[in-house]
Amino acid sequence: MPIETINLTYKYNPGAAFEKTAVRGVSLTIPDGAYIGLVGRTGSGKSTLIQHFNGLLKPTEGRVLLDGEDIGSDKKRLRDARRRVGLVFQYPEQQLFEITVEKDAAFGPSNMGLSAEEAIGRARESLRLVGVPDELFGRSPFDLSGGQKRRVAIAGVLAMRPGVLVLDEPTAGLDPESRAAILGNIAETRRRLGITVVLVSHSMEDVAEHAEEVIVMSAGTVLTRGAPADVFAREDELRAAGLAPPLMVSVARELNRRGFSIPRGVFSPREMAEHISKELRDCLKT
Amino acid sequence: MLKDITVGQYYPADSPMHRLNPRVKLLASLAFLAAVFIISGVWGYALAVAMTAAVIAASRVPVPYLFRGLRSILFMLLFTVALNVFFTPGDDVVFSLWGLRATASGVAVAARTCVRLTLIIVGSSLLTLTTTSIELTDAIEFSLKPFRPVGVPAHEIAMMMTIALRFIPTLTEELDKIMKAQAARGADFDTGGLIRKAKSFVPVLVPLFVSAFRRADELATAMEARCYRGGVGRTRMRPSRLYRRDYIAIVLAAFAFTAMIAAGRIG
Ligand SMILES: Nc1ncnc2c1ncn2[C@@H]1O[C@H](COP(=O)(O)OP(=O)(O)O)[C@@H](O)[C@H]1O
Ligand SMILES: [Mg+2]
Repeated sequence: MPIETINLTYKYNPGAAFEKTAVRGVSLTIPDGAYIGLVGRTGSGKSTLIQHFNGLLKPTEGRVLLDGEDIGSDKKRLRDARRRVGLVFQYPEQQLFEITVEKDAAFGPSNMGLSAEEAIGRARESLRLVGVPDELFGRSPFDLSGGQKRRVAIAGVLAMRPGVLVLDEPTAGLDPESRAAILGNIAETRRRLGITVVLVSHSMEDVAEHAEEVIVMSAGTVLTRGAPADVFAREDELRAAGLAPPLMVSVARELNRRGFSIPRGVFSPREMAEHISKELRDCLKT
Repeated sequence: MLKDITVGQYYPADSPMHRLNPRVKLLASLAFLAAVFIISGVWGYALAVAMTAAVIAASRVPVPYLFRGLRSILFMLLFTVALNVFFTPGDDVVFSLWGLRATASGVAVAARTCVRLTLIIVGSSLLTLTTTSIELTDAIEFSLKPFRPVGVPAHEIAMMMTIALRFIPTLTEELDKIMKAQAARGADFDTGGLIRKAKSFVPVLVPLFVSAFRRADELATAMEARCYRGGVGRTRMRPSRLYRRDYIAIVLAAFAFTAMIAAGRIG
């Protein structure tokens, strides 16, 4: 179910003194099954853009096509769009409200008209998928840790079985361990369900490891898009847009300046260590 | 929809009204409200309207913007007018509608009430439109001070108002965000009967309250960390001062209110 935006522009408070163009003339396609990292500094319009993918915001100008069809404003179509494109907001744990974890995760499916048992069934399935242990299902969501809460909230969206999962800064405010775990969960979920993932972040680090393609936004427009290694190599452009390339990219650049030849596309410390030790060994041999 | 309400909002501009001392403005507004209740006769009303028009001009608030706020009370206004027109006793029937008889004295009362209500709303809107919430609470604290000996917690009331005003936009923003997040999970806020609609707000209100309490808690900690202990011995960064323009305003206002009330007695 590809998503396509055509010349999409969105203005907050149009016509008022506080008018703000958050997205200007963005045309892009999210192909089926892709894992896309959408990056850009805070205020570059990422959140505004993705709220068009499921019809929460209506374009001021331009169009949004879901499966080649305009989302429009028809109620049934909107509802369908919300189900097919699952949108996880930033700090999604702030939307939890139910008495138990599994009931909260069942909110989405029951809004789709499923029976209570079916909804709970789907909720449990999604909770397990994102790594929430079974013994927490009956607990109050307000008693969980930050990382667990966030998983519950993501499961609540997954329970609607969307074809596209859009996550707005899913790692914001988490400790490094939860951050890595959640990113791993998302990649694993995508592999198992074969869904499209759009991961929004202001940090290149978040998307370096798993994303197949990176879209860089700056001041409401798409600055560039491409394979992570290609995008990260354009360091000056990124810095001008207020972004820093992943740490390992900078390390590789510094090493190469001092005579190493680390190839592009090395984003994890382990890979980096392997390349360095290999080059050092080769060096000792000769 | 929430943005349409202009009563109680601030309109940033640089005008003589904006520069006036907030304490003078508040007390003058109160005096104006009292005067509006006392005035009588065509000349009294005419003077009040003229004076309001002069203040609007001096405030540099665009007239359409000012009157947009009146839309929210239009219903109340019409209701009051209808009530007065049809339920004022008298024999001087002007016309009748569905068995209800409108009397000439009713129409007169309705017209007076309508002008009075409009003056009151416009007058108090002008105060808030030209005064920031910080200035306003300072003025309120000042005018409540004389009642402190009888147990009115002037400082606490002012502090509560400052905090409430500060958090209205924050909570509105948050409400918007939570509603969107639940809509993304298929929540539907505008179909079904009243009960279903009320129920659909549970997923919005619970997170909103949770967050409001969390914010309140954090704010309390932050205030304590800065040694807040009420108003005793507290000084101001910008002490309120009266300039020449304020004295002129006081004299003008006193003159205008006296004229308003006197006009009714004479004419
Ligand atoms: N509800 C809103 N009302 C007015 N302006 C907004 C609103 N939400 C975002 N903006 C503005 O739109 C721009 C883009 O914001 P956003 O899409 O949230 O960017 P990002 O998610 O990349 O940080 C920012 O300048 C922001 O201030
Ligand atoms: Mg954002």
